[in-house]
Amino acid sequence: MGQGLPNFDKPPLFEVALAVQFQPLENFKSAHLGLLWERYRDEFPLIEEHCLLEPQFERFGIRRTSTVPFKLEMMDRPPTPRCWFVKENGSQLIQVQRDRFIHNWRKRGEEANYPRYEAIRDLFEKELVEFASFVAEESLGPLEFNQCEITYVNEIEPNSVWCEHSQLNRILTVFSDDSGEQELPKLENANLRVRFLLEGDDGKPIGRLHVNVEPRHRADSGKPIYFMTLTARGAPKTSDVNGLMHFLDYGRQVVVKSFASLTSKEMHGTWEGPHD
Amino acid sequence: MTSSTLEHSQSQFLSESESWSTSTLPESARLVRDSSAHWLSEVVAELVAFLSLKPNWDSYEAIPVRIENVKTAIELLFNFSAASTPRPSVVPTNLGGVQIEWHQKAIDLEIEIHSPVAIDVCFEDLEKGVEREYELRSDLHILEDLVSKLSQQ
Repeated sequence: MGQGLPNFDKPPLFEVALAVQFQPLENFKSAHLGLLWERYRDEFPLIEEHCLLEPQFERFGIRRTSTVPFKLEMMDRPPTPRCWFVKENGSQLIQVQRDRFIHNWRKRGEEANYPRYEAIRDLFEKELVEFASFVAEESLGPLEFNQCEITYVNEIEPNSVWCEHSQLNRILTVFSDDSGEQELPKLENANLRVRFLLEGDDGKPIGRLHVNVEPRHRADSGKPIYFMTLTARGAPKTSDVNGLMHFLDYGRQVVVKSFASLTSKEMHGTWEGPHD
Repeated sequence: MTSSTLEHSQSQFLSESESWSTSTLPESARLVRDSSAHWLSEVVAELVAFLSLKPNWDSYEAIPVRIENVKTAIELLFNFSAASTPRPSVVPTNLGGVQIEWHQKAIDLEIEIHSPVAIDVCFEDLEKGVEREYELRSDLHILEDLVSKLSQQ
């Protein structure tokens, strides 16, 4: 599965999330979250409640979706929350809401090792099958997957290649501080949002790769860092588990190749790769 | 679909981003800036009113209109209607969807939203003898062209 993909011995990964969105389960109530937790509780003994994630759809041929800042909510009943079922050490969690199922791996501690995509993928699939069985047994409605996404969050630390936010050109291949003959003021930092189209074999769009690069400082040490988030999102070819996993495998390839392509060779050296 | 938990790690990492803006362009102006049809707010109100329909609202076991379909209809109207686009009719469907339709002179255009990723389109130009049907998922390029034909009449 990982063959031919650039591979780093010490990738700067901070978080990986595999997610699926489906038609909202109209009968899914808060009580169901408690019943569902029983199925995962041995491995995920901690629970948190969070606000709902808004539905997201990758559409094409629409110019202004992102500029329509409206929110539509039904107020006739309190919303069923999004729950996190969290492992004791916080490194993995499941997020569930009435139209979403997500598995996250998070780096916890400097020595934490990334368990690799294949292991996270297997967990996600197993947990999703369990969720599907719960939905069927509780007659909560058909589980029709309509969007899925894979997200890699990279925490890019200062090192021998860069030491301040103004040196983004040393991290990325797509960013230059060369202003030619014109003079620019000194760069302080940059916050980038880039979208790439993912196309099917027929050349038609099937999804997007979103890349965000955001400067931050560590709260404890004040050290500058860049967060680089890559998300591949789109509609699965078929609305079942096979279609979903197929898209996630494809999205993972896009994310991994794009990360290697967007970052500099100097940075690759510090992450000890890439090896094919 | 922000599936990352990063937003919940704010105490660990201080963000550099600022939301302060000195632009004088209000949000509402950005929304409707260049081309909004005068009927847009009325039609949006009609669509939102569909959300109060109870089960069996048509006496034939119709289900309530789904909020995501209303939202999709509003997004499509904002995106594809121009100042010159005639006012459409909007109707709820008994499977929880929404239909947007125009019957203008020689052109009939019906857009039925079953879900945000299942949209059926029926277009008929009686003058030119053209009839087309489309089952759209996420690629909606064709809609801009079809809706613009209404404005040209």
